Amino acid sequence: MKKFYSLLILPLIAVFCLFGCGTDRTTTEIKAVYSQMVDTYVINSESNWYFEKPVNSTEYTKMYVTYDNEYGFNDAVLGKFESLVSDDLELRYEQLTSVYARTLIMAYNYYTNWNELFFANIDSKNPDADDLTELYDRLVDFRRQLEKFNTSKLNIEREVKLLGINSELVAAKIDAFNNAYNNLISKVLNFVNYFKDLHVKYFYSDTDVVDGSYAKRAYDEAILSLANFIYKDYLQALSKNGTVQLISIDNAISSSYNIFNDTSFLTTKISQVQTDGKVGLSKLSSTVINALNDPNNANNQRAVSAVNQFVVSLNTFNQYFNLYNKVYDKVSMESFNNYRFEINGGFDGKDATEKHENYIETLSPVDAANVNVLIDFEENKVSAFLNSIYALLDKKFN
Amino acid sequence: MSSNTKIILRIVVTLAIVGLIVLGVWLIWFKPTNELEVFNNLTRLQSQDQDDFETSLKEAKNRTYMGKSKGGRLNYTFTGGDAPASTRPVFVQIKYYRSYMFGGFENNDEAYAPYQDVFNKTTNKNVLGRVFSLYETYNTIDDAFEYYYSYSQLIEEISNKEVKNINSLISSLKSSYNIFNDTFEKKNEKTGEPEEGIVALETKSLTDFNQITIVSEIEALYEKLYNTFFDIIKKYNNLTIAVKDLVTEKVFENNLAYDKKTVTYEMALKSITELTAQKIELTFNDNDNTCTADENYISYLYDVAMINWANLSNSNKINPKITISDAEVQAFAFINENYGEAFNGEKSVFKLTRYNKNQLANSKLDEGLTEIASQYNLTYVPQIQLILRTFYDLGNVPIDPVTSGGTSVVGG
Repeated sequence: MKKFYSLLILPLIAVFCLFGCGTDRTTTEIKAVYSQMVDTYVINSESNWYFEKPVNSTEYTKMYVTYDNEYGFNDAVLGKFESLVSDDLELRYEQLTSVYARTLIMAYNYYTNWNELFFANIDSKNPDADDLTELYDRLVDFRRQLEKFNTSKLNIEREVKLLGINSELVAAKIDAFNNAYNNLISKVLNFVNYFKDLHVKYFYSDTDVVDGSYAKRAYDEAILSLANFIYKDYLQALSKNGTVQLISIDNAISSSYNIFNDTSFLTTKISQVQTDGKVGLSKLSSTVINALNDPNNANNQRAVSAVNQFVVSLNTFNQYFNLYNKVYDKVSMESFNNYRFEINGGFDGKDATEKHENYIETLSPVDAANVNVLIDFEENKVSAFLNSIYALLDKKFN
Repeated sequence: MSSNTKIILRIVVTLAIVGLIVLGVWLIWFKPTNELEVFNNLTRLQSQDQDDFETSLKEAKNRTYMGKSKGGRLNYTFTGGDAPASTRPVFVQIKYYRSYMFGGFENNDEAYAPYQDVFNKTTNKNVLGRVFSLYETYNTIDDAFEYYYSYSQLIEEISNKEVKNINSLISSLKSSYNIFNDTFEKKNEKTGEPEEGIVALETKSLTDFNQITIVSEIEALYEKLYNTFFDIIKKYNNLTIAVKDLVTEKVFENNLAYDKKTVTYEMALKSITELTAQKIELTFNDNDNTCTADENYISYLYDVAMINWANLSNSNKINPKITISDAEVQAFAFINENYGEAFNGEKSVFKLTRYNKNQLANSKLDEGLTEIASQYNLTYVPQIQLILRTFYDLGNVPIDPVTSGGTSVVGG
């Protein structure tokens, strides 16, 4: 009988070991893993890797992807390769920048801008060991995914060489590579979102001072929130059987909201795709930052008010995005994509209202309610949020 | 105890145990929770009862004004001269009921707009003709209901009392839907032919009844239809407010973030609450075919019409539009959070008549306050003015009691 009881207790011991025997991690270990990853994949004159590391800094890095250009691959991605065989192929190449590079830089931007200050001061805040361990684990996950992504990138570069830059067969290869890009962005977001949470928890939870640093952080969080939305609403939503057919984004009907068709988003206000492959993000005006940092500045109150309004809209966006996430997995993405991107013929109707009605009629009441939550978020909350970002960027006090 | 008795007893005990187990499993796995019950009941209301009602409503709206003479049936053409002169006053009354319900532009007959004095002074006659109706008011509530209903499925915890309250509102609304449907057209269950209601009377042969009697009966039914429709507006508004309050508390944790849509919906629900508190009786004068309504009723209906216009503007369904910008959204959120008494209770700006709203909206703070404006905390008046001017289309409107809808309505 005792043997029987001892057998019963074995799974419990296993569970305890699984969850209770982890090693606490320190900031030094996190920085070591990060430095090693950056050093392994730093972009230099001989490589097409992922991290741009300024000469005078050990921490500050940008992340983006460049490609072997021996057969014009990088030029095609940047839209500089003329006479591609079809519009679809051209679009697929360009979406590696216009969609993926842009999303990656937006996802990583928060970490780029705040990691140096964070690690320089976090130990003085007596961080919880579990928090640092979780951050460490997510960083290791990110590094593993980057290794896998690198293999996928080498594969597609090889395929392009073998098939030729103008081969229609490359289209399917890009769709498969998009899936690797999806996985990378997913892990980057998983890591940076947690980093942002810790950053707020240890550096901004008690502050009510609206200064330049506060505004920059809020702006960077807004960019991260948008990246989370883009990943979920387009990259993950269009993923199917190991491929991502982003082509659908550009084929979407004009009446349905699509951030990549949003004229404001396409301008250089938030991000721009530069000719050398780097992606830059707009910054808050220096006059706004100066006004915020100087209480005696004539525009201080106006700047504070503008930032407070912006933070309200950021919180609004995050609140609704939370609800969006609650229903996201309950919605059949296939039929939702068919509706909004008019895939497989879309839904009949003489106008947008009728198409919406015909789509909703195919759903159960619960599914219809879920879909309406998604649509409300896409069509109303996202565009309102973009407007508030532009309004803050446009503030100059000249 | 005999063996047979024992067997029976065992069977009974076994069945009881099995029953208890089945009941337990059902309670644990299948019994809808309170939260689901609310969503399911709202769904049932929306997908069955409302469908039936809206079908009746659309048929009533799309009906040719007085019907046409077909196969010896009644001829309701008022202006055609076929109807006996003695029936004309009744026809006029029916026409007013229909105008209040469905808008004032039936057959492009502008003379019968129910808000003649308001109508004559507006520059947006086409828009006003559409939005100044219970029909468009119902559509506005319906849009708001759809919105909050979609989020109601995310309610995670709700008390029995709250469920009971919602169910009671649903039940009350359903009964009014049924009255409306039957008043318009009650069909024979076997033949499917109209048996009672307006449609049944309209299809009576001329030879069956005295025409004046029938027209008078139809007029009475239209009065009932109008009163019931108004009752539906009131109940649907109350239900939507209850669902909105639940969603705000349970889903948005009392921290609902506003945008153009949600601000418009709140403006609508609050404005319609004031409208439904008014006396709605229409008074007819047979001598000159005029109609008089309560001054306040016209005033609040005009306000609601402007919100209907704003709601249609949000959906790009109308031209010209009322433009709502982020500034109005922020002003609404700001007042709601910091000066709630301006939106609720006795000092609520929604309680003000259109004339007083106009006074408050256009009061110049640096040139002496109007009496109305001085009743509010001046810190918040600019935001309140912005909201009133935009949503009620009061920008640059001179303070004029007549334009502001402060008179009774006469037409005909």
